[in-house]
Amino acid sequence: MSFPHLQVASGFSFKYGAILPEELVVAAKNQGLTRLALTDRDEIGGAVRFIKSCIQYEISPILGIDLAISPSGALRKTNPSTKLKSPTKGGSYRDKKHYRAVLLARGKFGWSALVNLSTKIGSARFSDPNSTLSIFDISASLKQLMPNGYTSADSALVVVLTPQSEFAAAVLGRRPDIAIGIIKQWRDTVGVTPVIAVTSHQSQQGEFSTNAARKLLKFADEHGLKSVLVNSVRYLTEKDGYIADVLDAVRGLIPIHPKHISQSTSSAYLKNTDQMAQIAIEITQNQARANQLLLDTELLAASCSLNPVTDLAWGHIYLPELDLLTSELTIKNTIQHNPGDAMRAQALLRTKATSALEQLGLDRNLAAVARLEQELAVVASLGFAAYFLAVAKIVVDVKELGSRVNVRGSAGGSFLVYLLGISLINPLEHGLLMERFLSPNRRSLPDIDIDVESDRRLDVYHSVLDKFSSQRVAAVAMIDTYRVRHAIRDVGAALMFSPGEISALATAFPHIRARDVRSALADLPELRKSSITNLANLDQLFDCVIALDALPRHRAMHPCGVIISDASLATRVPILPGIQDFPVTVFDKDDVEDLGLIKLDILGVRMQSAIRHTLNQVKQVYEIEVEIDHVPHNDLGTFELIQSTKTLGCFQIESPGQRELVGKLAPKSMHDLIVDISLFRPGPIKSDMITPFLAGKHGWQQPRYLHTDLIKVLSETWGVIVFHEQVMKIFSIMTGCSLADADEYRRALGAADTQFQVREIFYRKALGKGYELSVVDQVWQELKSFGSFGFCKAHAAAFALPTYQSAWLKTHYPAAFISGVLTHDPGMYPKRLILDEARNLGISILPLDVNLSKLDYQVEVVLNDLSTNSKKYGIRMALSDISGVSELEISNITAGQPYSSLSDFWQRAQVSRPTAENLIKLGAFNQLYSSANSNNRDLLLQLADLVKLTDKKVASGQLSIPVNSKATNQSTGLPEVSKAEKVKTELNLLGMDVTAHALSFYYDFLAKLSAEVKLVSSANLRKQRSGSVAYTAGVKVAIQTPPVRSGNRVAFLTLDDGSGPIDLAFFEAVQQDYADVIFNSWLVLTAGIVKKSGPNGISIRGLGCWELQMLYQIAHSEGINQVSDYLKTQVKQQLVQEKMNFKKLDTTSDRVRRRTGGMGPAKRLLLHASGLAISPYSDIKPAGTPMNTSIISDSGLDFAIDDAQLPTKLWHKSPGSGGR
Amino acid sequence: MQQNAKLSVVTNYDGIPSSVILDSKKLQITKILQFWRTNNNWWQTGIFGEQKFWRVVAESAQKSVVIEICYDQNTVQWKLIRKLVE
Repeated sequence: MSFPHLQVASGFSFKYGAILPEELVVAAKNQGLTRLALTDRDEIGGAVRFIKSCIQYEISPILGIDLAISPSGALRKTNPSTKLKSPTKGGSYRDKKHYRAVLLARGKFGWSALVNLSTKIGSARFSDPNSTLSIFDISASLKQLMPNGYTSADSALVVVLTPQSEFAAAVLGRRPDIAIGIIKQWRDTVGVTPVIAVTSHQSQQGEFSTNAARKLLKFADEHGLKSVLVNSVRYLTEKDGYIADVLDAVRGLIPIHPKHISQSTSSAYLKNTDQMAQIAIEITQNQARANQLLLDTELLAASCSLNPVTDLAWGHIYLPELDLLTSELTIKNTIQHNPGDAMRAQALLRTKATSALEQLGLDRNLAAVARLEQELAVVASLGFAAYFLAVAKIVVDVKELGSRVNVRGSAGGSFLVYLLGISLINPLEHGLLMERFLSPNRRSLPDIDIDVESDRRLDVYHSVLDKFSSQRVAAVAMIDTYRVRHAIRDVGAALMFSPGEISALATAFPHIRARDVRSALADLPELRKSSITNLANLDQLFDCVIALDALPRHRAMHPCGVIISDASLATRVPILPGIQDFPVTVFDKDDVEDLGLIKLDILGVRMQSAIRHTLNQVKQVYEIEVEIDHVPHNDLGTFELIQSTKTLGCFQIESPGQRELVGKLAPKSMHDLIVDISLFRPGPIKSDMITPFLAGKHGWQQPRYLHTDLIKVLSETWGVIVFHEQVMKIFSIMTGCSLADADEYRRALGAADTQFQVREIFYRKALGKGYELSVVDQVWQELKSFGSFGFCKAHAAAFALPTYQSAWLKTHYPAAFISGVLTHDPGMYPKRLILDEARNLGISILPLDVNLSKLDYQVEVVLNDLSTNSKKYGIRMALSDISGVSELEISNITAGQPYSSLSDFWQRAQVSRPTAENLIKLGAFNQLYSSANSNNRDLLLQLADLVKLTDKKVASGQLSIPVNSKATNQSTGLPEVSKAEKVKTELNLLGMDVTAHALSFYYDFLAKLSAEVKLVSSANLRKQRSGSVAYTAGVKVAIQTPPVRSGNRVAFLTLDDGSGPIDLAFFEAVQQDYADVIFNSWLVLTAGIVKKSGPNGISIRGLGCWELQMLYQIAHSEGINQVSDYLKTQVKQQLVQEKMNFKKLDTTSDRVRRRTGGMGPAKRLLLHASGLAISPYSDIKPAGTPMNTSIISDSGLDFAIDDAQLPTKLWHKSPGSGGR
Repeated sequence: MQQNAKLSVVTNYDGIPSSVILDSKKLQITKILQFWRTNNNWWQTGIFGEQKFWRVVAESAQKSVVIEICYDQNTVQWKLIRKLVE
């Protein structure tokens, strides 16, 4: 017999359990256990992954919930937490100690009861984090679920009263009368006789002592109650006890102290059968009674073991009821499926698709008809017709809402999806495959992703909710797990590090996993140089940080995943209130798929909003209605813009790498754009697909085809495997398998454990079809290295559409397009770079104006030359970008326009004083007072008077103040603010330098320096000789560390000098000396070697990077020659060092360390199944100290920009990085 | 004090004390009255480990005592906590 643990908390008992459900199951299997329960505290969020692991490891799963129960009030000390101290971080106590009971599910009704109770307590805790459920709540849940069979509630739930229950408190508090009353209340109210759980953690005293267990057991025996043995498990091994102590402190926001932690021993671990048998003997002091206790535990476990298929409907798919999809009624909560619904849904799908086919004039196109029939057959075989109809209905509704919509992902490969109007891409035109999206062989459910305008996302969610009701729709959850920064913050507080130390430590680390904290410290030069290494007790802190790795810490609403089901959804998944009361499940996207819930990803895409804004502006200013979804895809001007690499603001092709790639690739068609987007992915870049592709495309090299049979598949990409669809076709051609099977093989290529199986099949079948071994060998090598990295062509095609549309709009309506980009900020760059782009395009940037500025950026005609019939456009700055301004204030301001004076504005706009001050500081009244002699300082004084006057009038009951009808001259003689002060204000309040470029304050210095060194602007970069050393200066606008093929961490830095972007790549050898400046400074001067490639491709390999301010100060104090000499020496040293590194590969450890950027000779690498290695620090923001954002004034004095006050980030950082 | 009394402990295979040598006198442990464990304050000591406590009846032909003894995992040492009945 193996012991079944019946009370086990995992990490999904947030900040209580210290083990993941899947780890529990593996450990149980290793111990030879055959049954195991998961009973998380007040929730069942870990249930799906627990069940999944149990199925994999053949363990009988038991599910329960360790529920906080409201005290009956009979005990004098009604709540065990009454004496708890206040949290150290302030606020209300987050974790009161509640009385608890474990409720174990029996069968389908039991699972539904757990779901219902989890929903109830989760919803209650949305408003009060310390909510509990009463016995009456539990009774009500059961009645609701089993209206007819309520008398046999114990067939659905087993109530286990653990040592944390009120019953145990009554027994141990020598109040047997109350204990009996509690048992009676459970029996009478819920209809279940509780089982008494006894536990000994061998504590000296308290509910987990052996004495307490003996008392509880004795009471149970004396009153004829069934008893079982549990261990209240919350971590895996005895050594993990300290993690529970840390979690106790973290949960309570209190430092670790004997008074605060809930355990005095480390016994709450997954003990094996022998250890539990020993505990049974220790408690009972009687072998026979011990055996009986263990047997009763085993019997109870057996009666609660769940069958995932019958009890949890594991793998069953629930689609919305057909009547709901065909009816005009919007909400029906009690609809049931009718017999024959599946056939009716299929018939309806066919009708809709064939009708669309006719409308498109494709009904006589044999290929189109055949493709439709094929797809309809697949959908019919899988029974997914209702899903397609539901998504089509949602898309219709989204369009009715006025939002732009497009499909993304593999669903774009489905002709049916196109015919239903879900996708705008015809898959037949681009050779897209349905099998990449859906096939009878796919184990996973179909997943259609649709893009909508980002600012309409919640509107769309609510539209879906209105249509299907909360009974059928819920957002998917997203589980935020402990990574290094949060772990440091929580553990640091628990171990009583000071707030300053904690903050310095946490922000010093990149956004890596908590378990990698020590490796990062050893690997990254900028971390080793940091002062954090001097802190005491770091070892202990890091031990605890590592222990928290990957444990769930927070649950949030997924930004796009929505599940759609039938009206039984709430009986199968707990649903909690989310943002704007939108229902959210407790399960994440993987869990819902296992539960057979079909998901629709509704992604808010800023570019779609930017396109909408652009179209509105075009209509408003140019009086032209552009149907962007129907513009021809062969516009010469659009492709010329893309080839010129002036693509800032355009979807997908604005990043430094993409600008370089489009410069090399020179796209001339939609197909070229699709290829471009597919090539610019981590996989293709890492496996260097780009070089052979460009060689083939530009005719530098003859395309290489490994077999003539593959020419038709690979000719579109010059012999290079770029798309998933090509991999599928190669498998299909060479092995004779179906495309559906081919997609399974393609998927299996990506994992080392399945790759060898595919290899065997490929070799056997390809050789069987007569291909020579040498050909099979070569094709396999290509598939292996390229296949797992290729990109889904359907996805790329879906992306290429907004790419082309955005480039088209930038080409033909640049001012309107830039206004859309500035309003919705869809790209990676800060708005200040987009402002520069507008200026470079000849568009005026019009300052904020209280009478003209609106919520968003507006295009205005600034010059209308009737003689030449030409107009010049400008973009008016938006009110929404001002720091601290509220939507209500903006609405008030725009509603009251125009204003005649500051007092008129103050009287009618009803804004706060800081907002009015900010508007004055930003020059929003300058136009109004242009004819007066008042400057911004005068206006600030006037405002102060107005505020005082208002306060007096309000105090005296008068509601109005006198209004100056005109903006008159009220100069006080104060000087106007300087240019530098203006820019500083703009950066602080808008995050943009509007009136002057931040670099302009250094122009004199740079002009002097350019006489000594070759200083090059972005505009002149193309004129430089490839291989020459060039110096550049600018404002940092982006820093990225994407994965590269070499496995190195390469820092890609983009600067803006006012004439355009400058892109530099800093390799590891340079980072040793310059990482700190590269990652943390704002205004910099760089040196590097210019590299030209392709028609317009240009980049710089960085040799050095210095803070401009530092160089300026050296020049100021020691002369410009000192600066130039210093720079030249540094560059020379770097070049010499590079030569040495290339020549001497077997150098000393110090030199090796320098070559690897100080990352040590044994640098860690992440290995992919294809054999490629990448740096573990790719795509993460490296460690750093706060940035230096000071600029100099006209008088040479520093102005430090207040980092904490900045409304927007001044530069873009890699994905995965956060904070400043 | 009693805590300074010299103590040696003999355990069985399970690590449970079976006899003690207390002040040079060997006593057989005839009954374990109570056993409990406790964590040390790992966040202060920097070492994680447990202390195990036994309250036992230890007897010889001439003497019978009730004592509390402790085994510390960190120091790997036994110590006498107190004599309860002598």
